[in-house]
Amino acid sequence: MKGAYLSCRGVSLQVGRHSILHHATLDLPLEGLTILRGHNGAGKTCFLRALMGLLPLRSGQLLINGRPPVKARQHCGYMPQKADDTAPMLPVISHVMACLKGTHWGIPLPNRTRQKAKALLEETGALSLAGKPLGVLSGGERQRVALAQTLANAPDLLILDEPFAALDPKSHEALLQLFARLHQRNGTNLLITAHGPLKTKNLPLPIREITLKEGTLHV
Amino acid sequence: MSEPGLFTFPFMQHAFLGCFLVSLLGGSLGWLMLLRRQAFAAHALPHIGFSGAAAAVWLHFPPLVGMVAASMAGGFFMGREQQGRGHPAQRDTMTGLILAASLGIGIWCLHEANEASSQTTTLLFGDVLGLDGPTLGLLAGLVAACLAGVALLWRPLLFISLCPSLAEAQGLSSTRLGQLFLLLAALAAAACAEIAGALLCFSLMIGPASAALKLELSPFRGIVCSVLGALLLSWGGLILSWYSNIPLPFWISLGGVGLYLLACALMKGKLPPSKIRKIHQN
Repeated sequence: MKGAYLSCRGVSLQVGRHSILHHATLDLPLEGLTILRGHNGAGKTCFLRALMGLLPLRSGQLLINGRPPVKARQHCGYMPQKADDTAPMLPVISHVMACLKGTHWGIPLPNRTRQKAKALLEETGALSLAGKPLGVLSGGERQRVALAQTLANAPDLLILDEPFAALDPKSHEALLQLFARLHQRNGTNLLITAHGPLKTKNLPLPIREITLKEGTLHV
Repeated sequence: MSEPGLFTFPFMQHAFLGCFLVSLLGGSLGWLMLLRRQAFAAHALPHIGFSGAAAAVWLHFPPLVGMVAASMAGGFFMGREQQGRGHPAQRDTMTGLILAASLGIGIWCLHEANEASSQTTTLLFGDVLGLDGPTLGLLAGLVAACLAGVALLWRPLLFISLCPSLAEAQGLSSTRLGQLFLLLAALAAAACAEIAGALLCFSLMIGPASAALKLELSPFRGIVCSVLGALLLSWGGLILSWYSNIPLPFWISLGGVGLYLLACALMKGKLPPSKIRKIHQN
């Protein structure tokens, strides 16, 4: 099982005039499923973006597994709140293939990449969608494809922003089961944001909740 | 006595070869530009190149050299504007401003070089029948450089075009990649303008690519389809203009629209109307 932990040392994070974190210092294990909560506008998305190195800190040091975000992100998968929808006319499989070693130069071997993409789609239960254009998928289907894309770089830590948004309760459960499966099979740890209650009681993985409130992370 | 055939004349052989070269470029780069929603840039780049060509005419340089230089400079500055998802309006504003400024400079250059006004028509409408050996060699070099660049950038470019959030989270810079891509697109636009002219060269880039995207093909198949479409337009247009005495750009631009309508007709029967509506909404 891969370990994961987050370390904040005097972290201040600000977006415009809005202070998200104010001199936050904490060490937080991210084993299993960690759920970040907070009211609308508390800055959950900004905090996740800072973890991915997409938002600069005002001061302090943020470390994931002992490494700063820009180095740690190669081992992290990030799923934004709103999945990218820039090319709805292209088939799902092409969207997943594009994420496989997408930061490397050159042209990939198409057959090998296709097989890997299919394996990712199978893992998230979306293989049947491979040939469909992305634009015709439902919210739940799109979420499963987005998760397959996020898994493309075999991350140790998945950072998912509101993965349950726009999903019905049945899909909530299916997604939680998928998280548990990913943790058990690949040792993937997850940090997610969520609003409503989640049925996590019988999930076979460690679960922790943290709250972002008034510039402080409450564990 | 029978009429001589199309291929008996060296200038027609050169024209077919030139059309083949620019179809390779126009089809592939055009597909990528449409995928990245840069149709306006595809329209602007050859016009910016036109200004460079006008300056080259004035300064007694080969027009293609001026066209390449100006397109690349335009592409560089257009690419400097953030290519991210949050700034499409800003990006188009920059493209529009560069286009306006370069056209103004182009008109001034043509005014200064008014003794070469016949070249203006050539720059605007292309001169596929006037391609000589050295120009073809230069075109082949441009095509090779562009395609090599596209091959090198292929993975990160596709990644950031299809999944910008994930690509940025993995450390790719949309601005830098956008800039590199627009430099390649500028080269391609200059090469295409040599055949179809600055006014209509973007129809060779946009027409077949829009049809290929409409067919919902994967990137590889989409580009192959787009290149074949560009080849059909340019070679078909060449044959039609030979027999009809109507300029090639006319056939290319109308053919591009025809290809798109054909793709629409093909796709109409493929998806139920509700799904088609959903794609259009997106």
